[in-house]
Amino acid sequence: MENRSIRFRITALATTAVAIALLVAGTALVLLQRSSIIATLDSGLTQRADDITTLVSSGSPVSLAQGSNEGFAQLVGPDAKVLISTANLAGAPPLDIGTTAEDGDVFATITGLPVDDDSFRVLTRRLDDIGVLHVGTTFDVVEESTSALLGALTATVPLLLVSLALMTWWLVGRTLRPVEDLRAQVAEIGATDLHRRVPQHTPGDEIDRLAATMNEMLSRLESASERQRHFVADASHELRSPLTRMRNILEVDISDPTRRDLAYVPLLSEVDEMQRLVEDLLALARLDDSPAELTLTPLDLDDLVLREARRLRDRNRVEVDTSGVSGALVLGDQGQLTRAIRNLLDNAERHAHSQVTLSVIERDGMGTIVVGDDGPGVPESSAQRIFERFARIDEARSGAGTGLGLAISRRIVETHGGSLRLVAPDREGAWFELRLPLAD
Amino acid sequence: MARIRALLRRSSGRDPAPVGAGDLRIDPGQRRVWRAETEILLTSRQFDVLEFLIRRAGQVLSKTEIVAGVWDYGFEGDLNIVEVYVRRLRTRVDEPFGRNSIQTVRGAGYRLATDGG
Repeated sequence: MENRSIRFRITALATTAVAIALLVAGTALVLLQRSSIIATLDSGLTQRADDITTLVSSGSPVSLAQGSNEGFAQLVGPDAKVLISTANLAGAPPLDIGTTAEDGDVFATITGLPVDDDSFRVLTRRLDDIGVLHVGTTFDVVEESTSALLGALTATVPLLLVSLALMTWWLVGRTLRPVEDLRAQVAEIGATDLHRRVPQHTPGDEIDRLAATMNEMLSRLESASERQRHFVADASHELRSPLTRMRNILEVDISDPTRRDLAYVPLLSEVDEMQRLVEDLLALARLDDSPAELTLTPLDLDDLVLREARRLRDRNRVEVDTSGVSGALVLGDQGQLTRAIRNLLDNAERHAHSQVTLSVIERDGMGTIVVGDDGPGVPESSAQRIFERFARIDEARSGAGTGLGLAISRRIVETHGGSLRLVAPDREGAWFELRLPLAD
Repeated sequence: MARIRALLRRSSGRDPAPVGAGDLRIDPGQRRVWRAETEILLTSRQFDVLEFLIRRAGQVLSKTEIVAGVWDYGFEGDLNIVEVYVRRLRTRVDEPFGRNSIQTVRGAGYRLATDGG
């Protein structure tokens, strides 16, 4: 994950580029240094050869007593006999440097001379009528300075690269941190808190412009979702009155023996259904609109649950097991929490085969209600979607519900700082866990 | 529900006059609680439990008796609910005052001290 990041890529790119540049520059430096030292050696050799040439040409007796590991000279006659040489080449055969130097001076670098194991820089010059002159000087100085330079480079270049990489990493991280902050903040802003905005720091820079654009987008999203909420709230509010009137007419007609028409009875249940749907829509729209309007009082969860359990028992459609109901005191809005619990219980009743199981306990600082049924359960693939609005999971779980009950319950519980989730059941059926912070 | 129960209690001849154990006093009519001069706020059910204990101050009451007296006879919850309520009540009426009015009688139940702890 991390090595896909821009930070990693920029650091790798910068380090590689600088490494290549340093490698090229280093190689050039070494080569230049070598050639410059060799040029100095060569000019020294030329000087020496000139001196010897002058001496030999003057016809005076020449002695080349001087000679050491550092240098040598040898004059070879036309008959391949050594005429004169420095002491360190005394008695040595004529040098063979693989050239006869027909015209001008020839320079060569050779090893394996009888003087020393080291390399030597040798100048070979043909002296007319006299023979061939070899003048040499040690090549060590070139090798030594080259290896000194290479040593310095190998010591400093990796260090340089590492510090460059660290600095780039730090700098890019520093530059990108506001972007990451921005991302994290936008990620936090969910559908329910679109009023939030990301902070803008340095005016005018790229990140500030990004933040500004995000904020504009959030504003547009907010007003769009506000318009939608208002529309839903208004529409459901407006639908209530005609529905109530329809219901009244139907009820009057059904109760009037002279006008009794059996077709009205199923019609009435459809109107009931629609009324429930409209009420749920309105409830959700209001919850979304002003989640802060809660009247918080200490509430005994067990009381709420037992009361709703009795309501369920009175309908006599399923057995209700409340043997796990203990006490839990939470802070909450009684009406809202009752609605949340009732929706859960209605849902359980709808999907239960024959039994609904309820429990209440205090656990980990949370008042916890568990509601379970012995119905077909929720397929794992739908576990997330079940809390969505109008979520109809499949034929087995669809029923007389509006498809909004669980969405309402979750919304209510979340505005109370709690959570509502489907727990992985080890038994059959669907098991919901509702958690609310304890009072005190 | 609580109001109906309170009405039932009153109609069945129960005395709504204030009762107390030491400086722990309740007014069943107004459903208010005091420790000395300090009023304590309780939930409706917490009040029911405290009232039940105070009216029987000095007696050892089992969980079953408390559940039967406070909740309906048809209570089908967990008997441990009594422990939860007693613990809550202690944090309201005892602990802030350094008192110990609701005592646990090991293996038997609970007793409210007649002197209010």
